[in-house]
Amino acid sequence: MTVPGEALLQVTDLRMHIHTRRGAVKAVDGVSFALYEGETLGIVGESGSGKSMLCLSVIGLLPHGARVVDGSVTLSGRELTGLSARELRDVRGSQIAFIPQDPNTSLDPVFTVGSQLRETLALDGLRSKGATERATELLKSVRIAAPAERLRSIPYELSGGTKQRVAGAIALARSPRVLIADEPTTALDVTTQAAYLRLLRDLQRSHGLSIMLVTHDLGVVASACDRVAVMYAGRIVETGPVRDVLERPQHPYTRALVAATPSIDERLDRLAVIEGQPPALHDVPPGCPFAPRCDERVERCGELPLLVGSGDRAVACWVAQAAGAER
Amino acid sequence: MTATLLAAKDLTRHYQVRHAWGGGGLVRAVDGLSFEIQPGETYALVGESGCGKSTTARLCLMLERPTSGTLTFDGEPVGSDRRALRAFRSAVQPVFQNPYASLNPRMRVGATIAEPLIAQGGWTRAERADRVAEVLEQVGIPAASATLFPHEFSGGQRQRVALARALASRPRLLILDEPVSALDMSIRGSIINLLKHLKETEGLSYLMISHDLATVRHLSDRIGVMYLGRLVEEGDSEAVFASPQHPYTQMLLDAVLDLKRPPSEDGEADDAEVPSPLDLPSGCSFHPRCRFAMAECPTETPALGPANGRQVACHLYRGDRSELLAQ
Repeated sequence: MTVPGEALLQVTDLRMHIHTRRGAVKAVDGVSFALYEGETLGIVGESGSGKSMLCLSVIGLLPHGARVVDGSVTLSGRELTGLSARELRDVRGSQIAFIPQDPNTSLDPVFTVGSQLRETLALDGLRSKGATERATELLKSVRIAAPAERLRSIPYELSGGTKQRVAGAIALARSPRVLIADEPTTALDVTTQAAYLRLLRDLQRSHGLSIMLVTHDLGVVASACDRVAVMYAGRIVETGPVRDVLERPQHPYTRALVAATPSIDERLDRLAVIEGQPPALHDVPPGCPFAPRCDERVERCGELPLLVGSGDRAVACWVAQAAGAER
Repeated sequence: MTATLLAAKDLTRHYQVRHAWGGGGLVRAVDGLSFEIQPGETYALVGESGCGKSTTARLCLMLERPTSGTLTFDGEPVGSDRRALRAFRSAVQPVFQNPYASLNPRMRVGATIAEPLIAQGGWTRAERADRVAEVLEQVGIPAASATLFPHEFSGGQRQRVALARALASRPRLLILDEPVSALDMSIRGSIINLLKHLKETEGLSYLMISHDLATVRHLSDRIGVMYLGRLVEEGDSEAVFASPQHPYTQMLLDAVLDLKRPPSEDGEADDAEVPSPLDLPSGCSFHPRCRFAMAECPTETPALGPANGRQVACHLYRGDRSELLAQ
């Protein structure tokens, strides 16, 4: 467990809305968290919980029609919301980098690995021989065998795991301090996934990276993250150290999610099920968004609970907060 | 003594590939695969992508003809004449991974579910409507929803519709190709429970193809582990999960990230890649990745043979080499 130092990335009450014909989709609806130096923070949630939109809001790569309507994102004390596209472009890659989910779509299929790496390096004025040397070094650092030859490869010649390593190398090219990885191993096989997560760990140590790892897989969270934030309907409902949260979840949603995840180490006759559906983000009911599916619903759940912390844990649930106050 | 439902014997499917710019060769997608499925049994095929498990599913559905080898259903060779093939297609039905792709978006789900009945023949319009209502209720969807289109359902409900379509013709065997991989964690449990329930009430057998080992453990009775077109281990599912024998099975199970397992700091670093199917290693195709590889591994291909109450294709279990395994 990393000792929390200074908050490198601080997100405060971030709200991002997407305008559609059906009204404003509140994809990120008042999210606050801090990413500390040298830690891995897992952002876990189901599809539609807003976790990918949160990443894109943080790095300012908003989809069409989306707008950050409120809140702030600071990186080493510098405010990122409201920066011009040009200023943001300078920040991205050099201070905060992004690994997208599927390397088949994030790498350009018609350019060699080397030219895609050199394109990034050229932003720092590194060209020709120097760039090639640095590119080889980068491929080596993500443990790609025969890096010099791989520079001449076109993405289709590489396996999924190698492609994702190349995406990692591109992200690291300008020595960022923060790495945001959106489901980086979802498209990979189990064996490749384990190796990739180990690589991220090693890179974190050697480069002093802080990582924000977005995933839907609690297994990935358990093995790769120090802290976790659980998202539901565009909000964070629970945060804390990974082991704590997974072993003693406080929010009923986290509890249900842990119970619904089959474990490989035991066979159950029936798996726990969360009844109902997550709400559509253009039509989130007032009050606690999980209340309609919650077994522990009380009258107060008609009001929206805020994320309230004690120690290193925080939970957005009236029932859990009341139980915490009693203790 | 019940008769075997589906038996594959020496099933082989090779593909001749040729690149537009030269090169190519023979891909041995499935190479001499034999297995049997008993009535009421769930047989799972697991392995990394490219191991041939999906090709096997397609062969078992007769969507693909084997290069050599035979498939026997209920004691009769499959594909001998048209009439028998028609009966086979009613008795063996697929459920695919992605219910967003497997349902026709322009057909009402009732029409989709009735389609296999039209193909089967012998049903009047009224009988078909009754059957559609019946199978919808069976999968937990109100019969009145038959007039809706797929987009009006959530992902979990769509997979239920896909399951209803598969059940319509009263099949005896369902081929489940990654049946829950495309679904969210909170939805998976309910589909897994439904599959278990249907198997018991309808007396179905399943051939399940999956890379998600936790789900496989919860659903399967027997399991076959595939590597590059061949079975490397086969046996009672609980026994295989409890004490995997083949080094590949061990590696596969070790790589699973599970929320109940503490993160492994060191772990066997497996950065090795799955070999190209165009250029399989000699002998045992797993030997380049195997930590037990011995002198005979690159030269002799091990056959499946008995080992600790199951079938394993590995030289370690021939002769007395148990001392090696104890290390």
